[in-house]
Amino acid sequence: MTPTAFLVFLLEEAINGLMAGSMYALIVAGLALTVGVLRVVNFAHGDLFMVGGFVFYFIFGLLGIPYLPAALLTILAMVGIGAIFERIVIRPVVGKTWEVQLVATLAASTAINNGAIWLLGSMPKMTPTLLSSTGVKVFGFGLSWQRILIIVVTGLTFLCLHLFLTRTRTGKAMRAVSQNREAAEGVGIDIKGIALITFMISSGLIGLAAALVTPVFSVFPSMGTMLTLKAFAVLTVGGFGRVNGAIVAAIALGIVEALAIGLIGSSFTDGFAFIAMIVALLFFPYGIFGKRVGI
Amino acid sequence: MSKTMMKLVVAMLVGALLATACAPAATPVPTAAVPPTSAPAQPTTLPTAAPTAVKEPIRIGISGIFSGSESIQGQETKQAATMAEEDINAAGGILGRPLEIYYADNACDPAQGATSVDELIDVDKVAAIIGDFCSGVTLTTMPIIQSAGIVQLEVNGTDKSISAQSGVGGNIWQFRLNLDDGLMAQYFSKTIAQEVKSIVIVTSNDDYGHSAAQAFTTDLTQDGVKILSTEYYTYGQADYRPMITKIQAENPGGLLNVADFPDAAILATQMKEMGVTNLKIYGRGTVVTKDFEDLVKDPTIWDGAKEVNRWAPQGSDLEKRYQAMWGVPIDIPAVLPYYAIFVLAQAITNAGTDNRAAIREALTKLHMNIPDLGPVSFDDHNQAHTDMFITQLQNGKVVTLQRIPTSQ
Repeated sequence: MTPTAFLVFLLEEAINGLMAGSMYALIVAGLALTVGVLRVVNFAHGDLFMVGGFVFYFIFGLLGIPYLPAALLTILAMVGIGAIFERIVIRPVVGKTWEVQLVATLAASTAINNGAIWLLGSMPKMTPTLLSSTGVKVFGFGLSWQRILIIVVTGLTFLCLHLFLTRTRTGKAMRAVSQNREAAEGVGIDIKGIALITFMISSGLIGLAAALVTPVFSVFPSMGTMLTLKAFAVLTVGGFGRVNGAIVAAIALGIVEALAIGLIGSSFTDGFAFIAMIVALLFFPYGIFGKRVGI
Repeated sequence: MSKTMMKLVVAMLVGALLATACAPAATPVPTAAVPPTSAPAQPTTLPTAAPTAVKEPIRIGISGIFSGSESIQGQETKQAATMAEEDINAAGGILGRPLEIYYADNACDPAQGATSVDELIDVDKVAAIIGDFCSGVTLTTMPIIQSAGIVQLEVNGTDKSISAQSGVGGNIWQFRLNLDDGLMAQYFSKTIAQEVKSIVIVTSNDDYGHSAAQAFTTDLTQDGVKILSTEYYTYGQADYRPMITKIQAENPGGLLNVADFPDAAILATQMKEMGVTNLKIYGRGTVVTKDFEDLVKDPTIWDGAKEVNRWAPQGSDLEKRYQAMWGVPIDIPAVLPYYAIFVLAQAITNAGTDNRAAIREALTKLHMNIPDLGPVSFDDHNQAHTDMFITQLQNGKVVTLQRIPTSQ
């Protein structure tokens, strides 16, 4: 390979990684919010993404609703599903020991996984859109409009999330709860209400991720497990409960994975996330951006 | 969050990394059976017998993939097995006794596979087992069935080492109905060598994938094809772009995808997205299938791809009945288990008993012909030599190019 071709190759892998990292970031950000504000480790997070994927498939693929309204409906549906999930699974375990949270959310994960197999079958579903089927050439490699949309929307979403958390009353209340729950309750913040809103935002982010990402991949019932494990690895590297840290770590992981596949090989793809986690923890025990948990 | 909790969570994550990386155990909940809309045909080789008073059923177990990312195969297997059970019982059962099929989930995971086989042997007390559909699982369970003295009939796992370790000088209880990768690579490599001079192999990151890649690497190299690289994917992997970028940089003439249709469809779609459409595509799995076409929804994707396989659609009565019963076309994960049940049923009939040792003895002497598959008899390593099929995707349709007998 000539030096120029090698540089183009590296650039392409970096762009691949940025796209994958954007997907991880959208999925992890919601988890970071949940951990940071509620102090709940939700092992059903990846399975909720799977639910979002099937909701999008149902609305866009089966009902034939155009993409933009279908995406908005998916987000709204996931906000609603998130509210129900919070009430049934999360609220009872907020403030309980981590063992209780682990069992409750793992049980929910298994129930969702098996429920999906029973209800929908095991056949994976693909929902290509016009944007995922057309694209542009950048330095000779193809980039679908859907992938470009993922990067752009991810950036805008996190900007909005940052503004929400820092400039709005509710966002500030969420940060207050994440930093000191008792003090927040003492000044009159409705903890249960904040918990519900946090989980609804988290689920909305999952719905957005599903609507953006499902057209370029596929959705099947058991996809949630590895997603959840990787999400926790990213969360740990970024700093447990730190949303900004999780986003940066997700994008960094995506780029590292892509470059490693391109330069070394693909046999350890899934292991990179966990190797990165172990290495990061050796030098940063609380994660790269973490000193204490709090958004 | 306290330091202690942090450590505990990290320990858990590391434990998850070290543990088997497959989907967690899940109670298999196969889809409900749909009543057949037409009367089942008579099985081809069993003697009919009028049902008598209630008799002890003959039990056959299936250790299959009923959960995890490959569970679509298990769904098809159960549908076919249900049909076979009904067909055989409608014809009077086996030795005048009703047939009962028992299922256990191995999730294509060796650890779970061992448990599933133990359950079939000790709890369900089956006379014989069909399984395990994944080479890694079969290799794990072979010592178990040997110790228990029960026949296990493989119908999907293609690792060469299964038959290498079976029969004479090895595990006399393990049999295999489907062709292995050694046989398929031997024939298919010649087809590939006529069309390309260099190739990249994309295969699954497990025993099956590594074994298939090794078999094809040996034969392709002997036939003058240069292997530029071998890339690995995990079942259910979502993003192939980094791998495709690497493949594109290597500029091969062809790509051999050892995969089933769910994973092949993602790779194919993303290759088209990236504009990598100039490679000749070869499959080993369920790539050139209607299931693949139904998933990609675009007949131009991988049009012209060729595949070597153990069966191809032939417009048979079984295909029509399966379609009528389940509303979907039959495919390999259903065809071979269906006929495997008949193979075991014939062996039991020939033995005159469902004694496990007698079944094994009867299988070693079995000679039968299944029109959809070819002749069925087992060699010294308990390997059947059914026919091989070369198929091609032509404008969204699966066309059989060649049917090659391998029994000579």
